Amino acid sequence: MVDKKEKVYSYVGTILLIGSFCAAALLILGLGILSFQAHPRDYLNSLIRPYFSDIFSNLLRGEPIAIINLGILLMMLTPFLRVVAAVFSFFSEKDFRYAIVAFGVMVILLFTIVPSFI
Amino acid sequence: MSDFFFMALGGMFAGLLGSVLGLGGGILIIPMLTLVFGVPMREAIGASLVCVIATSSGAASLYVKKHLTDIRLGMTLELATTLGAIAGGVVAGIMKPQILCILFSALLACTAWTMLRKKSDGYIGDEMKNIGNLNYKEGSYKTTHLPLGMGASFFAGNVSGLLGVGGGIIKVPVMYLLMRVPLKTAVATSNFMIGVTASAGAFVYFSRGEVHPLVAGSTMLGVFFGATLGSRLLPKIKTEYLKKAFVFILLYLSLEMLFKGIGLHLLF
Repeated sequence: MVDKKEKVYSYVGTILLIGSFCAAALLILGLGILSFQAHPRDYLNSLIRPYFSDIFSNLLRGEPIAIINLGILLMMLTPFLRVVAAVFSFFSEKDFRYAIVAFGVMVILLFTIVPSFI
Repeated sequence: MSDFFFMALGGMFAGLLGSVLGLGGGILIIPMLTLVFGVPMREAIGASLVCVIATSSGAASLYVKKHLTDIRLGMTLELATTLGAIAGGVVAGIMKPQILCILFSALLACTAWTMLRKKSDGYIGDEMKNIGNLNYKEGSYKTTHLPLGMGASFFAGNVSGLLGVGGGIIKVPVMYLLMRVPLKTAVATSNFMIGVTASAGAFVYFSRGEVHPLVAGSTMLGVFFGATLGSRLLPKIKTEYLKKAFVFILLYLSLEMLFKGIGLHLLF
């Protein structure tokens, strides 16, 4: 039991760290590329909601703004991933009460996340 | 581009100061973005929420690994904070930005007042300093007033989604004073919840297109490094005088935001 509890803590902590460092790396990359481009000002006027599909198609073209968006999205999704990890680890601990609680949080988050992607 | 460089620099400063003083970055980032850079209020809130996630993830990973966080209690209260944050984010979309400015000004004044009072209500910064010597075991205490705590958490989430801050200033006293959670656990659990709460709010702003990639991206990057640096520096510096001086800065910012809300200008 004790070992499994340890696992929950270390999983959750690791997810937080990896997620935020990857996001920071993407931001450095995106902002770095952008600062070497000739006309970065153009982006200022293009404040529209970045659609998920756009982000990926622009990513393939190496658009720095898409890299930045991906970094921001990754950062925004890190807490969600951590909740998902908590659902699974509570299940593996057979702590069903809190697995349901964590699942509830996950569903609430999905309600705000999903509309942003469609 | 230079604007964004300075935003990153400002974000770094806000993150550093925020983590040293035990404030979330949000309370400093929004005045910086709106007053100095002229970013519209809702975009500033969107960017701030992303920054709050970044600071919370950095700090929370440290706390969780040290077993200070009560993940079970945090998850339960998150049911309320996330719903509150979504409601707050939706309401912010309907409200006039001027009203948001005035509300934010009130929040700044409240924060200044909390900082003026001494340790009685569990000032966050002091607790972070002593993170090494903990005496918390999961299940070693019993929480009380859960329904009331859930209600207060909904309100905390609401403030977070509406004004783009973490809401620790509400969550910590609620857990510590109302629910009888040990102070260090309350601080760590609040920090754990802040990220999830802020992300629920952030997606509401994101879906409205109010998370500007350059504003949010450069500020968040700055905050991320500032907060990381701050948490390393924290055990080494004395913050007493800094805190006292900071009360005045908060009060000044509160006035500035109030004037911005009602359409007057002091300095900026």
